[in-house]
Amino acid sequence: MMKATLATWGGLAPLLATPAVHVDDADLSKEDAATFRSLATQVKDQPARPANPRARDARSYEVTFETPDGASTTVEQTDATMTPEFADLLQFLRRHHRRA
Amino acid sequence: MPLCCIVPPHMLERLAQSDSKSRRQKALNTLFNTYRLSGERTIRALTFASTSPDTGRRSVYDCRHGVTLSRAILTRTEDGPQSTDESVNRAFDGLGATRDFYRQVLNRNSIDGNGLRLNAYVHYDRDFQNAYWDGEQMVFGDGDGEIFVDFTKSLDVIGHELTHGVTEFTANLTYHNQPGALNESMSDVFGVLVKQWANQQTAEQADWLIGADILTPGIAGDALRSMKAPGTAYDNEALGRDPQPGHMSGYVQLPDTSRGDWGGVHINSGIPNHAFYLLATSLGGPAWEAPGHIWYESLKASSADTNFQQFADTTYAKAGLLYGASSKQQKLVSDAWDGVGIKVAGVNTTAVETENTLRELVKQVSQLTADIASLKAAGKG
Repeated sequence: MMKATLATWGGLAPLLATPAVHVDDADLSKEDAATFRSLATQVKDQPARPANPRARDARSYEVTFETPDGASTTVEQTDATMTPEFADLLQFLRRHHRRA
Repeated sequence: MPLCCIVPPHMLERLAQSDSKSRRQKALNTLFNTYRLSGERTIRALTFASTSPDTGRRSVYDCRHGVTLSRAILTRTEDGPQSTDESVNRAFDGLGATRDFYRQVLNRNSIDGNGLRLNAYVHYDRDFQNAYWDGEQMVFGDGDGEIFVDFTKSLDVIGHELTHGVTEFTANLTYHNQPGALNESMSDVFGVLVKQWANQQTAEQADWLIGADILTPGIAGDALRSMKAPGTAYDNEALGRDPQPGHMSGYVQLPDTSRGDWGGVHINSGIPNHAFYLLATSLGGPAWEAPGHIWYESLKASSADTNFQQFADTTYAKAGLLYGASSKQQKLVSDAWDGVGIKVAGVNTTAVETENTLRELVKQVSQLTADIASLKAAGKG
């Protein structure tokens, strides 16, 4: 069982309201839940990436994973330093949040 | 006031046609500065004709919805044909318009002043609702189709992002609090000037909006920001309300953190943005002329920690240098900052008073000379 919350801020228009995205694997199909856990594992295992101090108007993304035992892990990345795995996770969260 | 130059202008003009690139550029720079200081604008055509066309070469890459720029495909180059992809062509044209604006209007050779290549990446990620400058190149998203459309559709956004590069290579304004808000404002000012120049719009004709072309028709809002009326660009449920102030009385204190927009750099930029708008509309005509030149010279004269007050003082000093002390331009610069709640500290009333006193003295001496002459004539009679 795992939940994820995506918070987004910054960008060219950083003040436009960007609602948080919530995904709970209990709401997903068995296949999607497996994909979700796989993406989460890949992202959580990645070393932290320093922000690019020269980037301007880049967005920041923070994903917080929570498990039923109360443990939580937070991963933050920005547009200018995003890994492909993190981008895949963002797309997954947005897509499945809409369906939820 | 006539300007003295050790090399006669006709010789500089000859050098500006030289086959030597470095000689040509040096002569052009000297000519430009000389004519600019004397208020002459006809140098523009000569500058355009003589600047090497191989500077600021453009390349546009297609990310194919990925986020790894090194995996993007080169899709259009300076010498290649048009693409069948409109996003690619719009990015290419936007880079070109911005490069040409800086070259033709401000005599700047690309972003770094030294012909830096201009690279843009389109179709970044999926549903990506942003465009950004990563310190070396521009990245465009396609938008999500619900709030934003393709970010290559906005020329002022392209000008905005590339101007972040210009700022980095000049004042390098730190991205926090007031210097950060000035950094954002420079991008809005020159971004909007690129659009106005490309469309040949005067200050009166322009809409003074940033990002008007990237909001979907379904979104009730004009744009991301309004330089004419900060705080009015949008107001609806989906986006919230535009929080930009247009006056120091509305200055917003936010934490100097990423979530706090580094002290509200995108919020408080509304204040210098509006000062520029006030100057441009009070002077009238093309805003890229006197207002743009005053702002550009002030940007170059600023440093990493320059705040609003210091920048305002610099614009006043530069207006005096470019157009003369007590000129209409200088007075309107002071008025513009006054309009956003910033009193220009550089207003040199002593100098103005001295000039007035001298003028009065000259008048009195002339009168006395005339009186003496008439007395002499009467005595002879």
